[in-house]
Amino acid sequence: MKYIYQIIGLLFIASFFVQCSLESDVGLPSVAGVSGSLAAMTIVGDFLYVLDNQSIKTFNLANPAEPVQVGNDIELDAVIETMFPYNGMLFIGSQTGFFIFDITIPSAPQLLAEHEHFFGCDPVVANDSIAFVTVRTIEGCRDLEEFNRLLIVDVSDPTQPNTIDEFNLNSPAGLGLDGNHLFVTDGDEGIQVFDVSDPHNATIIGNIPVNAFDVIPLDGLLIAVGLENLHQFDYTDIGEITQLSSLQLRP
Amino acid sequence: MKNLHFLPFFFLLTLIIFSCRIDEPTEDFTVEGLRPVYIMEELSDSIISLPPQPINQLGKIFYKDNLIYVGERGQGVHIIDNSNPEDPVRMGFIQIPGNKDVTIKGNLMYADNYADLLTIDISDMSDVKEIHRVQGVYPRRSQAYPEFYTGYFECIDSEKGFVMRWESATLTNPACRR
Repeated sequence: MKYIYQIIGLLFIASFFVQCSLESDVGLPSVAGVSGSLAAMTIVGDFLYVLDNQSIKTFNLANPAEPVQVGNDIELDAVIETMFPYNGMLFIGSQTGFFIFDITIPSAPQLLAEHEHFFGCDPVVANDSIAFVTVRTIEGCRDLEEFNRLLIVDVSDPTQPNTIDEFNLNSPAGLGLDGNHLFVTDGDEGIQVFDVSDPHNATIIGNIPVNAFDVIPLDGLLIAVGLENLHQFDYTDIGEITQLSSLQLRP
Repeated sequence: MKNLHFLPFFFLLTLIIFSCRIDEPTEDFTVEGLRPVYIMEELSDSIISLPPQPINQLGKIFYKDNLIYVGERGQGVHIIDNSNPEDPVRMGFIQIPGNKDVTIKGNLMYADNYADLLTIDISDMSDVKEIHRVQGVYPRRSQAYPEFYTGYFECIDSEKGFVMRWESATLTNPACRR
């Protein structure tokens, strides 16, 4: 029996400027598909990375039917939950922060940085690479300050991530980025739509009133999953997001 | 003299039993939470295609080639044909007990099945086949708590089998929460 005392659930490290990688997937038969932001399993090229609680495991898919583990498990001193690949790196979300791994040698991920949530911000440098992270307080730690935020982190130097902005939210969980638009699921508060064209001055420009915990933005089509429903929205006009469907999956 | 060594143990045991007795009449604490639903070990690796299934608790999502794959926590994956986003159609369900994550490359789905990592051939969605299994990839896979959940839950008793999923319930004196 295991008692779990958690302070912070970092649900996710998000998408970055994934416009380019998404564009090639959207609307065309894609090779790899697109994961929601809560994925703990991802394929980059011929390698499959999986998370097991506190370790990362790397599999070679040279023979796709039979993954073969390469290298040792990479043990981390944190409970890790989500994984997002971007530009030769893996961003791993844990309950206390996130880790950045270099996977330019895909069979041997190398730790570049660990980013803790509670720290003072370093000076901001010019950035062309930004990470968005949601942090959510888990009930049961009344002594601690509520910490339900979206963090905007400069990772242009992936060895030295800097938090450049924070937004207080209600219960942020999954999130997805398409170009200048960031969608953050926020529990009962709906899905918050951010304009992040200037990451230093991100602003909320809209709200979609559905309770969801993860999203996939697909070049104008937003797929949002809640506990019982699958909602879809057209956001080609970001100022006028319209609902396309809501699939009620409960019988 | 030797027998005296049992005395502290005996006292302790008495105390424990006694204290349990004392505890019982005190007020029970009930709360809404989750309790585990178990599956017998021998059923835990049956990977099959099924018609659309009711949902209990949706999980992670994956999109590929106009199909949306939505996890049903601990049970498998709902397949939704999204050729027309205004009218998504439920195509079927892939049963994968103990599943939390899937990803897809070509016609192959990689999925966790409790401690194992599976390769599943999904070229015929109505008749998927497990084609490979790497055992023990997830030795510590949390059978310990419900993911992405905040609140009380009934602690797991591994004697009862694998936890297939979690269901809402009124719990009495739950000892676990997160």
